[in-house]
Amino acid sequence: MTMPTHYYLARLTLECVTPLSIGTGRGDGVFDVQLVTDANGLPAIPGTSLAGVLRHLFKRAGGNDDLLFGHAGKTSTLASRLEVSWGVLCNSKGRAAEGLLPQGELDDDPLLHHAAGLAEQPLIRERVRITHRGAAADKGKFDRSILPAGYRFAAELALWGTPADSAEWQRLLDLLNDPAFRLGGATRAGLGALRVVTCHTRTFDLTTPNDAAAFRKLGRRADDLTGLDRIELAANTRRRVIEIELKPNSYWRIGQGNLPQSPDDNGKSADLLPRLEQRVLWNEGKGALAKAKRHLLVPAASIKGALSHRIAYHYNRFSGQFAEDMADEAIAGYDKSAANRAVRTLFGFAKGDAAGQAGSLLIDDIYLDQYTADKNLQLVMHNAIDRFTGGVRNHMLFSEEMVWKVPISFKITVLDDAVLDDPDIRRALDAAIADLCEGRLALGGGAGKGHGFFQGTRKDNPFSTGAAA
Amino acid sequence: MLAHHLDITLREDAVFSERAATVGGHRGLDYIPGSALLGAAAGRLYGQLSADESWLLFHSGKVRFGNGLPLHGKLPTYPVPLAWHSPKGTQATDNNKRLHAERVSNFCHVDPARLELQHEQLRHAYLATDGTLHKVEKRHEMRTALTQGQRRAEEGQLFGYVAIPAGSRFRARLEADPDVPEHLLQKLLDVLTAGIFLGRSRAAEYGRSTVASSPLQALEHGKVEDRLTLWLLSDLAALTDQGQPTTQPLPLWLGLPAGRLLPESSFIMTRRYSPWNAHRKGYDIERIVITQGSVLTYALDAPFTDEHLTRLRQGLGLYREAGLGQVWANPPLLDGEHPVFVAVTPGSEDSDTTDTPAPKHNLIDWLEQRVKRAQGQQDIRKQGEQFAKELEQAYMAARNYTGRPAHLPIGPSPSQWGTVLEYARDGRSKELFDPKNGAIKDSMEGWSDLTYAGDTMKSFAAWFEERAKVADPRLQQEYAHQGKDVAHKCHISKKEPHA
Repeated sequence: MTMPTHYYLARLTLECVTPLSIGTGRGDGVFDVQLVTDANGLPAIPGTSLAGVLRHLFKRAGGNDDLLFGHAGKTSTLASRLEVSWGVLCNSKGRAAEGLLPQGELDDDPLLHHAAGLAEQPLIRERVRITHRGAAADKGKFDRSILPAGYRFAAELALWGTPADSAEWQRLLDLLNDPAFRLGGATRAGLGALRVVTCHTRTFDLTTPNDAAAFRKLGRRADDLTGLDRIELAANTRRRVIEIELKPNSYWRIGQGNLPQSPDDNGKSADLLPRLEQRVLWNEGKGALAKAKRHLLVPAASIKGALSHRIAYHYNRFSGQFAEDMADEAIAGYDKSAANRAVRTLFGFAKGDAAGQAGSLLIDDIYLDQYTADKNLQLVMHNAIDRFTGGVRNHMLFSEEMVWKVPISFKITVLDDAVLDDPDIRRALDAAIADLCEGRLALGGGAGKGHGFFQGTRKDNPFSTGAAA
Repeated sequence: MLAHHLDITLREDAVFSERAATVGGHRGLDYIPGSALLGAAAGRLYGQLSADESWLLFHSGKVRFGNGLPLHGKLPTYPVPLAWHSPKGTQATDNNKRLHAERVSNFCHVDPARLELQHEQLRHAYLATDGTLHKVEKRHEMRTALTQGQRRAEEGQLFGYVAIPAGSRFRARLEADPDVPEHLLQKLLDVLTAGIFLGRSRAAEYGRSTVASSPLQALEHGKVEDRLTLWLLSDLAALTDQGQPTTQPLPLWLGLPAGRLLPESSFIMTRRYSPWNAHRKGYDIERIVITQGSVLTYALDAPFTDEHLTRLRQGLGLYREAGLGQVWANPPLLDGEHPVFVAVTPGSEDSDTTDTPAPKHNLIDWLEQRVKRAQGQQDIRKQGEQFAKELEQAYMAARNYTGRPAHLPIGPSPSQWGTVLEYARDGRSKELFDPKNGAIKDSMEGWSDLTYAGDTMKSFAAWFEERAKVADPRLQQEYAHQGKDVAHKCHISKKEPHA
């Protein structure tokens, strides 16, 4: 290998567009997933996580990943030439919280204080896997700990190479703007989307005295930008995007929240609540948790779940697979995630007999703040009726806080156009979106009571004609 | 005779291999072999001395570099005698690691067949004279060699080291016969106390040590008549009269009076290894040794004389220059059925640094917090387990009291505990018993069921409120989690209540 003469360096500030959930791989008995943290107890991005995603994208973009990221084979081996740092959480002034911090510093900074507190009191997303019968699957309930959206990280990429590596280096940096550059778990369920806030780079030619001196002057901190130049990364427009705007017919409520906004006249809050979540907002380089108004959350998982069930239905219908043709045992054990080709192709599947596959559709979590608690959050009372007597069941009066007519807009990014090669899959996707936009497919709870139905428009053209036929 | 204690403090981790073979995992010694001290001195002095002087100091056996055995605070330690046994399944030591003398039986004098309980041998530890069992901490670390061009681990070059951590302290004996010239011994002491590197990988980050010398206090051997008990303070390499290695040596072969070995009162462990000679870069001849801690008991047929005592003091068997062959004859600790330990003198067990206040540093604060948090988590787990036991009893008591059949539910259901868990996880623990918005009310199905608490009847709601109100949020989460598990078993039970 040629002796490296050039040191390519990029120092990045990354912001979580949606919550980040990089888990340690184990739970603590109470929570299913614990976030990876650094020695300060602050959530962090492991270098392996960054490197792994970049390598995957680099390879998919046609790059020779072995040359940059190294490989270990029986006949030839090479260490990685690319050095990827850990992503270090930034404080409310945008400075990287590097090194072992005194407790006082952690307590004084509101962002760090909140993030460090997540170790004891994690913020979680409850998830449940729904069967084709619309009920929760056995052992299908789980939760994911998250770091709220808006937090920023400082990270560093460095490549030892020669002038010939310039193009590969640029190709690598461009990947940071790819919608598929997502980290952690549940990236196909809305989490882990990142954006590059700033990218400072420099290529040090260490054979020249000037660059060697500049290299020596450069501090080690990930947010030391001495002698580096800020660059703007090219926008990524290669992916196909489906844009949808939905206007609710009436009420909707997605997810189970815990922050009541509209107590009744007796001061009792509703039993069922929409999900509200905090996120960090940045203004002139200073970050703060938006306390005054928590954001109404539409988790991407709820859109993905509804769409995948409806896509399964349409695909089965288009491809001529009907329940009447199946044995009773096959129906009882039916799992669309395993049996339906459209669902497997578009939404991925877990590792089982075959190697697993990540989904090809990306939807981000949606935060809505254009609402007022008085006008848009309203109490709806329910009671349960005894099936035998027809009377009201004891202790079964409950209330629900519903969202009234707050519109929802979202995008679906198609990571790989090849998944739409199958005409039945294309038609099934179009038909499911049409159902959503024409009030035939509900989002969230209470569909049986007429909640969660929308009228909407799809901005792009459907992939096929006559989809709903 | 020159005799010194060498107090060795490891300034860096140090690696002493149990055997030099490269196949299989690495096992490290928990003491400093005398050969390491000999090698460290020889490495510095060999070039400065004549051949005769080198021979005298390092090969003749007239100068003996003893093993460095761990110091427990200020007290020297010795390998725990293998004749000592304690009842299986009972704790032989108290919280300060001090042995309960009455629970230690000396099988030299106790017939195991007489004992009611099965006993197990005490091993792999060192004994201070106050009865404290001292175990040497070890660290296991992986190392690899890198290829030069590719900067990755070389094939087949991943290996592990078991190291004794820096800060550990040991005491060795340095003894010489009277005919060894004083100036040579002084040279020896000078190089040893100037700072040495011990063990493996000395050129890397291992082995830096400092040595302080002080006059040696000789061991007081017990009076020997017709029975001789030898407690091996280091390995013993013995030969038969035919020159063959043996692990059951007769006293005559060791230069002691004629007699016979008493197998029922002897406790022998052995090992074999080939030492690595770093100077010659090759293995020395294989040694078969009786390991330290072993106890050999002899019935003597001839009188034990002063000449024999001198021989004992000089060590027995081969390789005495490298620490082997040190014994304690008829030691007081092996006299009776149970040992008698010396009284603890205040401060004797404290290390010199115990009273030094920790320096003010972020890292110290961080480490203290880590320890505190780990202890807190352990406490929560324990309290959670205790809560689960009590809750299970509460479910059983409720079922027995009402006589409700197994297939009918009683008490809060798993999903009701799930709601409690949600409150605890969302930081709403304070609202749990709120009359308006709480998840637990005395009027609720399940929570209103009665159970026994001590000698009074209480609803499950009241029973849980007593416990949950005083618990911090993390403990409440644990309670709710345990509650869910218990409810899965007991809300609808598989066991019928008592008639």
